[in-house]
Amino acid sequence: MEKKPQIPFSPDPTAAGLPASQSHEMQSAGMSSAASFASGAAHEPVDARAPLVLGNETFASITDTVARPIESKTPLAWYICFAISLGMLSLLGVSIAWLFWEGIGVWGNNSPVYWAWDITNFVFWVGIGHAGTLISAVLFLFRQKWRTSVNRFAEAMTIFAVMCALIFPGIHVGRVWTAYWLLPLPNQMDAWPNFRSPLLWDVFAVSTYGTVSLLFWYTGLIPDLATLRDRAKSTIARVAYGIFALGWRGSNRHWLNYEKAYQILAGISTPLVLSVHTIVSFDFATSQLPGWHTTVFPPYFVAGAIFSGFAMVINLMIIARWVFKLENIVTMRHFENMAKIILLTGSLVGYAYAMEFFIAWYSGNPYESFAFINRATGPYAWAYWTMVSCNVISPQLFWFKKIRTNLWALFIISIFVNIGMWFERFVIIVTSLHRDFLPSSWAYFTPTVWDVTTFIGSWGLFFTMFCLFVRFLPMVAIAEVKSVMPEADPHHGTGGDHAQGTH
Amino acid sequence: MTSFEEYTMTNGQQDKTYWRSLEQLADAPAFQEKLKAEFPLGANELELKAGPSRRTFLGIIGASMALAGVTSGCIRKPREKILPYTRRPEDLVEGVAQQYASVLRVGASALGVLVTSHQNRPTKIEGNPLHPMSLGGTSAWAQAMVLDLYDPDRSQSPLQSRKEAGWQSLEAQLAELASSIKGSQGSGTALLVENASSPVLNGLITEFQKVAPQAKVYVDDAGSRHAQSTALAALGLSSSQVVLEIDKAEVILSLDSDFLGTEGDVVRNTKLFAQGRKLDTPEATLTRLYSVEPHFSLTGVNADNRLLLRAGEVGDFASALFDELAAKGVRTGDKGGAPNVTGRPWAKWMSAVAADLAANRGRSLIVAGDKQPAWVHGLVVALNEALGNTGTTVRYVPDAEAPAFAGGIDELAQALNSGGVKTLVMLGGNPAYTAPADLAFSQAIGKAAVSVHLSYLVDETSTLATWHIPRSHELEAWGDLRASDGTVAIRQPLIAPLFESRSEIEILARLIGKEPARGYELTKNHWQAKIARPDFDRVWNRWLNDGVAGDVVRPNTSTVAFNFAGQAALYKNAQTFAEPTLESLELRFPYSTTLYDGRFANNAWLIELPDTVTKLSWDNAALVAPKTAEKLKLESMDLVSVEVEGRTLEIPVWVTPGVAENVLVIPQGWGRTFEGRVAAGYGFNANLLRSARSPYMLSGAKVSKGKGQYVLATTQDHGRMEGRSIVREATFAEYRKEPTFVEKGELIDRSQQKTLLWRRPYEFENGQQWGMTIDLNSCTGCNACSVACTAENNVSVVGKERVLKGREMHWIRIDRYFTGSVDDPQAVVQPVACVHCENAPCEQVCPVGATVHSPEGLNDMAYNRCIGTRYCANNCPYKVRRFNYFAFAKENDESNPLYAMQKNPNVTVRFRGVIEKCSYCVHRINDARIEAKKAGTGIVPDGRIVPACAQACPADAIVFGDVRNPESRVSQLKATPRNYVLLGELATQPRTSFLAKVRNPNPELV
Repeated sequence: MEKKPQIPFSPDPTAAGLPASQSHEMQSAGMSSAASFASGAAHEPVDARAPLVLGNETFASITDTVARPIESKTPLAWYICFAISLGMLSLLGVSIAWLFWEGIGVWGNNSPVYWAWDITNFVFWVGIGHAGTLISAVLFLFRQKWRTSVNRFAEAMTIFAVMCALIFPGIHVGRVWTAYWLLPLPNQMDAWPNFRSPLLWDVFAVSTYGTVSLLFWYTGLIPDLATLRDRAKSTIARVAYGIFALGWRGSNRHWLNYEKAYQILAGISTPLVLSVHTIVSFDFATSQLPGWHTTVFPPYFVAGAIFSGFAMVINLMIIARWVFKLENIVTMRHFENMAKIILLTGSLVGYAYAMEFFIAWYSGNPYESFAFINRATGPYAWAYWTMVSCNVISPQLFWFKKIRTNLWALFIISIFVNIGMWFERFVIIVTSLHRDFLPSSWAYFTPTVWDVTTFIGSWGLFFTMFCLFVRFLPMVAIAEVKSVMPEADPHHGTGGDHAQGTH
Repeated sequence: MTSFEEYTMTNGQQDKTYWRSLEQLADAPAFQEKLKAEFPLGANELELKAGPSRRTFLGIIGASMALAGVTSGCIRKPREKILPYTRRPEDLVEGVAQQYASVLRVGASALGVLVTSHQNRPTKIEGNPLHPMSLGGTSAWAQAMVLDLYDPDRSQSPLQSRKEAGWQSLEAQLAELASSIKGSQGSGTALLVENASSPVLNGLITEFQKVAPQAKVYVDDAGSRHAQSTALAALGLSSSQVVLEIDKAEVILSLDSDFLGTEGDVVRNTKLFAQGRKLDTPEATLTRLYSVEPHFSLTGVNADNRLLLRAGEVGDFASALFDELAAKGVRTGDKGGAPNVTGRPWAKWMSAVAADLAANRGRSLIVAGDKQPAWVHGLVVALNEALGNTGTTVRYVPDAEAPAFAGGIDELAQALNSGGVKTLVMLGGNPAYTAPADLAFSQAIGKAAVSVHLSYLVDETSTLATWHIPRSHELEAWGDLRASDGTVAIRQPLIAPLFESRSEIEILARLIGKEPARGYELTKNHWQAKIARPDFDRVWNRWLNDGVAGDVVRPNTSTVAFNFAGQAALYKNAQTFAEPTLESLELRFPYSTTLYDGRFANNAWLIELPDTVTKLSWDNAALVAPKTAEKLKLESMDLVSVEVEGRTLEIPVWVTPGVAENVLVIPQGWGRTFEGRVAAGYGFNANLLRSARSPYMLSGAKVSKGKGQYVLATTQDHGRMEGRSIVREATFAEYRKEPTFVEKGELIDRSQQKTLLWRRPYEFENGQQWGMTIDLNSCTGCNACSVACTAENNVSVVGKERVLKGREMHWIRIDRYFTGSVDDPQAVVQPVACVHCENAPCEQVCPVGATVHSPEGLNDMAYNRCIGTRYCANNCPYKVRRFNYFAFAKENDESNPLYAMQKNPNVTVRFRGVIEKCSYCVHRINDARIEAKKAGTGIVPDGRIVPACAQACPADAIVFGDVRNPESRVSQLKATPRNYVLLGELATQPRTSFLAKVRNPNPELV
């Protein structure tokens, strides 16, 4: 407390611009309400919570911490990771090239399992992509300040996951060279897509989601890109960051427009969190296949997507936090919060599983009952029980604070959740298809090596993008994190000392 | 490419003037070259030439890359010229197919056919309604025979000791043979023919026997029905054939016979049998079929009462039945020493059957199976005579002109081994493969100094013979065939031989030294001499036009004189087959339902066609009952070693319900060893276990578990209906009591099945609305529809690996379910193709609208629009949509350039990555619609449109027509109480409906 509270001088325009913009942000983005300012710290329930940034971090040190991995010499470990990721990515390239050359037959898909790993992977990746937007947009609108240190990361994950996801519907069609016919392009044949098909809704939903997520992410990046531009030592970096920073100078007007744009995009993104996976679930729910034709699918899919998305964020964040020494910014509180969301959504998913069985029995539809009994006891029972143990049982451990705050436990359970969620999609798609109405057409699906390499390859794309991301972009939203620090409070050090529990 | 020459049907004097448009194409050196090379263009260069240089290798690789670019369409298509006719042949309208009548030997039957020819390419075989063995129907074999014409492996030049020899040296050899035969009066000469069903060939054989009285003529063929003819000869009816008049029978007993599947005139039998299974009117009655058999044949699948009995005990059953009927006063002849059998578990079953037969004298029929010994046939002749069936339900048709044979394959093998044969001439057949192993025929052939083999493929026998002569396909050669009832039909070729070849009559004529030795003259001259009418040319043309030689007098069958004393001689050599145990199993060798005796092994359509009962494709297996398998600790696909009489065979087992206990069923026709690119490597050769003494059953076989498993491809993994009302079935009594029994199978009320959430694209209130019914009561599951559809719609063959992955492409499949207990089940069959839902689930989900409804109610596929998301197939509850996982059609054509000639030009060949399915033969609908428009009415008359499946169906189970017209046949059938739609509760409102199955079991045996 000896240190005089001050706005530290920094060449960082973000920081420099803070006092002015911050006051604005207080009103527009609403870091806390005007009422709470007036009523004083003692009655402020939110700000009385544990601090979001630990250690004696200052605005400058935050900037330094986040910018260090970008500005310092590239470590050998990064090259190794990047090489491995790139290797996996080339596997994707080879797999897709072979697929295009030979046909869908290189996969294990058969009749009646016309969709298998292709669509499983698609739904899996789209699901992963959900956490990003949820953290960025929904938590933003709900004033969940803790989101600031993880949102950039989660959003990046979203973008990359959606990229991975978009591969699959594109390549899984029999005639890829005509895949663009899915788009409503005017043509001389006057042939339009079939607007009744959920697959078409998918095209709109996922592409909208991808676009908005990208815009949202990029908008949030602009102030930080300007920071990097101004700190850049090489011309190339300065020009490159400069181009993408769009001339950001941190003026009041810039902050005003930025905050407005950010909030509008958050507003647009929020319904998309619900709509994307709802529409993805329509692919199944609106068909008439037993096991697909289920009204619970939209909420169940959304819950499942958030579930898997948060698990993925935890996995990636634990690694990044350790590698890039972000312990002060990404704290145990963040992990705990995310674990709680996993617990909630995991329980929702478990409820949905139980409800599917209940309805299968309650509906009196023999095909439906058979489909679910077959899931639990048929040839794919192993997949079903893998799914249940990973998705329903493992997250229940998060009831215990000790487990929620143990990074190893978090890491392992999150991996289980991701495995479980991949299997959930596999179970829904393959076990429903492999035994439907007429027993004469029943069959068993076995993947080929190309199914596996394509899936591994999609991880290659994901990791490659991540490697580039952590190397070239700030993985924590510098400006936003600063805004939740006590220094950001205009009253900081002037008596309104309400958020400095650890000082 | 070439000018099209005119053909004249009667102008036989010029050399090869028939349908020769493609001949020059086929003769073109480049084309010939391409055919000879399995891997065209340079692939041979890579083959083990003493170290191909790196440069050559790279050159070839580079060239193939460049070619890959060419074939994948990166550059413009090469220019091709299409030239019009300068003189158009009469009646030929380009683009309009023509049909010619002919006759084909299909299995054991002479089947009258109409062959469709597109621009002089034979593409499709239909039944000839005027021919009594077809009555308009066909079989899977007949449908597939057109593909044999374009067999990639068909032989293209004569071979001398497996080396190519020119036609000139062959002719020289034949001339030499002819003169030596003449000189020696045929001593030391043996002639082997396939059958005696061609009057022209029979006439030549008789001539040959005159020229060479010392020569011996043998006959051997799977369809020669040896046991039956032996029995008839012993009973005083030599050279006679049995004709079943099944439509006149009320009660039919099949003793291990497969008269609906592989034995005798199956198409005719099915046609007539189906007539007794129609329940189109409320007062219709139903025939009753009893079947006694050791494993499911098609006949057993369709039986009302089936007794599971090992083959070796069927004779005992016949003997006991004889006694039982004799006790009822129904008796003629005697048992000839057959054992008196009492106290068997089936005694009650047998006496119930006997009572039923006795109550239906003159309206009953007993059929003995070709795989049963002659004495059982003898007993059955006596039983039918005693029941008053002779002349009504069964007729014995003599053939006065049949030549005298010295015996069958056994006698020939003996003669060869005794060294008495210097010259062996085999006109067709493939005895080195088909002969039972204990004859060691492959070694015996070598004992003849000169052996000549006429065959279509360079098969197992050809490679052993000193001379191989390419044989013309039945669609390429003149000839004739006499049906079992005496009907003669002329076999007229559709096309000049694609490669120079000879028919059996041409070779035999050369051996006699007869001139001119061309098929056309031989055939026409034979009949001209027989008929001896001044206007013979007109008669001849009428015969060719009708496909039946109506002026040939059929033998009188009203009086038959039996000599039942011969029965004792038949029984004298009878073998007994001890009750089998786990250590000493009984073996049974039926003919393959798809490959027959192996002659269709290189036919891609048939080798991929799943057997109706086992649903196995691309392989045979040792079929074993679940109980026996359990005791032997065997599972499906386990390799076992079967040993009998010192001969062994390694074969996988396939656990099949409906097989008798302790019996192993190994279908013949598989495991060919010649270099056929389709056949080689598939299946297991049952002939290696067979014995000439008892060719179809053996006892005392030991089974030991071999190493590992052999993967078998099946198109249906699951044989139970899981309590779903998929095939709806009732007994005749139940049906009579409650004709609307099918409604009990509905999950939701039929009125609610019409309730829809959304409006349909059309209300189907205008024009003609197409629909179909499939009568499960008359469908026998014969697979003819499936192959007919393949032929008509250019459906691709995918190969075993893809069938294993469930990627077969059949547009219409036969679903087979077992009902009842595992140890004594019943089987039901159900053909399923696209049912053309009015409220089609596939259409809703296609994102690009590639599958849409037509105003006439068809669920159309726009292949060009399809991008291959496969969503439609997922959402199809009937799983009738097929996906081109690879470029199947292209692969088919690349593996054999000739296959393209079979393609139906009216049906799009589907490319990789699109969904395909049954179109209700929309091209035939359009054809009829255009015709109706031209006629001015615009209304297609009922019955004008016949889809390929319905046309092929020998049971007339498939009816197609306008469902909006209440007068149409399909509407009338849909109004019958047995009508139901599959999965109606899904409100798909299919246009194809099924007529439920009604079995008529003996109430005493229920």
